Amino acid sequence: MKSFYKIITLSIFSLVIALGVFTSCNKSSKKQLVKDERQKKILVYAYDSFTSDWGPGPALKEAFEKQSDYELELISVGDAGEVLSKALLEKKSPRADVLIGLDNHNAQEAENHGILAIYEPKGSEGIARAIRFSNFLKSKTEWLITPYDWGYFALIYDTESHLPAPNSLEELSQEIYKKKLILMDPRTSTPGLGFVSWTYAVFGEEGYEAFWKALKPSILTMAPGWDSGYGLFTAGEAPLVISYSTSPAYHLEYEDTSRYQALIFDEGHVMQVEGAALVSGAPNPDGGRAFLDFLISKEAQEIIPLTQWMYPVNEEVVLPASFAIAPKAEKNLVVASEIALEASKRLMEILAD
Amino acid sequence: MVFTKIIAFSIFQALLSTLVAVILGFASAYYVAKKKSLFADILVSFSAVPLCVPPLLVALGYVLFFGNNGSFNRFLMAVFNLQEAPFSILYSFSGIIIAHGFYNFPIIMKAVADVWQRLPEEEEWAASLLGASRFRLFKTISFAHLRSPLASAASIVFLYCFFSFIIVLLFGPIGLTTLEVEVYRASRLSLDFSKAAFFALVETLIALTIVYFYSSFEKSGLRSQGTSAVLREKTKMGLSSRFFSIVLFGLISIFFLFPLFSIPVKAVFTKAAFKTVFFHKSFLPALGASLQSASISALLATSFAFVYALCIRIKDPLKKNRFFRFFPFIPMAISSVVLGFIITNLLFALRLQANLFILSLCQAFLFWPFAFRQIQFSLDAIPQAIDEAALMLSPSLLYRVYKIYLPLLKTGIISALSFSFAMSLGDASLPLLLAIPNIQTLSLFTYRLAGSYRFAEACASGSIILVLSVFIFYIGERQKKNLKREKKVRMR
Repeated sequence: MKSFYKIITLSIFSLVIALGVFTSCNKSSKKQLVKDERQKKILVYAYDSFTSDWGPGPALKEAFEKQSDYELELISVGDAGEVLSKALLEKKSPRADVLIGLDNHNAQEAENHGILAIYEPKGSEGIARAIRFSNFLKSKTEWLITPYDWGYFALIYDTESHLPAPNSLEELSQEIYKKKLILMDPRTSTPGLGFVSWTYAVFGEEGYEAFWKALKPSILTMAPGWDSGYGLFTAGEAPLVISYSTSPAYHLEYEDTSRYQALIFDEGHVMQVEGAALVSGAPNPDGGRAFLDFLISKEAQEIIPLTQWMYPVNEEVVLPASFAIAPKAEKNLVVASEIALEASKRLMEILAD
Repeated sequence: MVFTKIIAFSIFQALLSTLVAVILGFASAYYVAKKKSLFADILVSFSAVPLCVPPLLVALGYVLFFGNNGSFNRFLMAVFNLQEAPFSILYSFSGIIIAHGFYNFPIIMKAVADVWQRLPEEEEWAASLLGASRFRLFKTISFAHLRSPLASAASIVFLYCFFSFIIVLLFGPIGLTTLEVEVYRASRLSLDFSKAAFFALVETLIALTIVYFYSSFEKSGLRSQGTSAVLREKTKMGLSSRFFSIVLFGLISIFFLFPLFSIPVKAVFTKAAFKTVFFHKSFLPALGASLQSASISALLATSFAFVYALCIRIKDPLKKNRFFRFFPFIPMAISSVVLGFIITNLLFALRLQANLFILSLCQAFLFWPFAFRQIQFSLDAIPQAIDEAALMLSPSLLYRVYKIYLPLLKTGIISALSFSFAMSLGDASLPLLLAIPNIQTLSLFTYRLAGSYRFAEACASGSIILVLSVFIFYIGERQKKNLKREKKVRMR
């Protein structure tokens, strides 16, 4: 029995010492960093694909650090939902200066929780009114969130399928499209929520539920995320998928194919506008403001199209040739995020029955 | 969906999936442990596949083989000159059960086969001499010994299916929900943390209850009275045995191996997918970081599992304390969304910046139950008499550990190292959660490829993880065989 306690004590003791040494080393270096270096550093929380090798993060960091004295630290905190979630957890003692990963669907939540500070970045006058966040917030505050890219939700169509391309959302519920449509779950994916908003905007409060009931047989699956849904589409599982009108530009740029086409409907399209914002009580607000100024500059915006596969907000940017395949909608539809969330909740209950 | 319905569905799909995995795993374990079969030997190398291949790629693998445009349907359409895909089980409830059941059966196969191979033959001979039928022999001797590893592995499979997210949503009926989806929605979308905490609590309590049930099986499991040094000889297959093996391995090939192989095949047949991955500037650093973190976490998990298994062996040799067996499984009852929440808050509270060592430490904490299970089964095979003799004759505890337990537990330690290494290699959620600046592992690299339109490249990168894991298991099994040979020579 004594030997048992010896082993337990020894193990716990070693673990505590190892952790203690490790923690104290980190803590002391952190404190030092906070004291001396924090004002030279800008901490940005972003979603993972933004900071990855294929996202705009690495190029933005390089370009920004070249033209300023700040060190830019882009921290990936998972998906876009986690950016807001993490900022909310840190509300009383914020660590980040800027958040990236806000969009017109979660902007209202961010405003409701009071975690953002208003800042109008330099060069903001060049941003079109239609994509400013005042359109998506109840308070109509214009510069609580700064847009940095945007795109339309659209159905992507595989031209090698034997199916005719639909001309409207209504046509999707026809028998010929049975099990031919891949959607994403609105509870776990932004394009999924975007599609619900789109149907709500087109069919209204009275008509959208009936439309979804008719649409249900056409849905092959509701994937948990854009990656799994779009992966199924490129594997040839169904000829239609919900994505962005700019998605075909990727295939043209890297696969040299125009096989996949975005369908533009006369009834209009819902946009996704992505934005960045200064954190309220940020440790380095000046640095945060400098980064927001840079984010909408021509130099930074030129990085956006081929990394985010979205349109830049700075209209001076010349789009890459592959974007010629990405059509723009003639009519913009807007649905408040609270309405979209409520509509998707009701919808999932209907679909589950 | 009503709350009780959500719970009922989550449990029901996990139970059915586990049942399929148990049937397949137990039947395969029979061939692995008792029969001379090359196919069965190869299958053992795939034991860690369910633990190391990202679920997104597994789902894509099933789609590439069984999907509407999958190889299987295209083959049928070409042979029978059909216009539409004739085989469509994927997007249904049975699709979930098949994918979960076949994908997870190797966990059960390995756990059961490891014990079955070491069962003492003397008990069976004695019972046979006394006139016991083959069924009675199996029921009263073999199954009594195998019940514990079977229940343990089945609990793991249940938890994996219970927390499954991608496969359930992708293949399940439209509008379906599980507790994990609700936790995700409340914590990430509507930011309703109290609701998220409630769902997470319910989910964790259900998972803990299942684990607790397992520990009761564990308690009633028999301790081996034989010796681990004597390993059973595998026999040649008879006619009926051969027939069943063809049926079983045919099913496993169609529903497990072919979908799995579709992942590298997709990469091979996509122009320059492997080349793009190999020559990407982040590939080698990612491979290095993966090997580093997997080695550290495997060592930590196995060391901790070894110490813990030995402690409870000394403290509770008759397995009276259920909590001792229940405790190691607690990390497994925590879902990835809940874990993310805990780790984020912990790092924030400690003001810690994540690094590769913290990643390895977190992975060791999460994966040590697997290492513990492997070591515990080896430990159970040591007769109590050896403990008692060692206690009387050894001058110190360290001497006992070094001279008695370490040599006797070598095979268990090798399995523990292989399992925890493979699990760490395939884990993308912790590297994503910890977001270590300037460091990404191979699994995170794969995840990021899939998130940036590069699915074929993701398949190529996932295939490298797959090959590494199979290789580690192959080396482990070879090492074990060498040890067995050495023991036999020594016994002679």
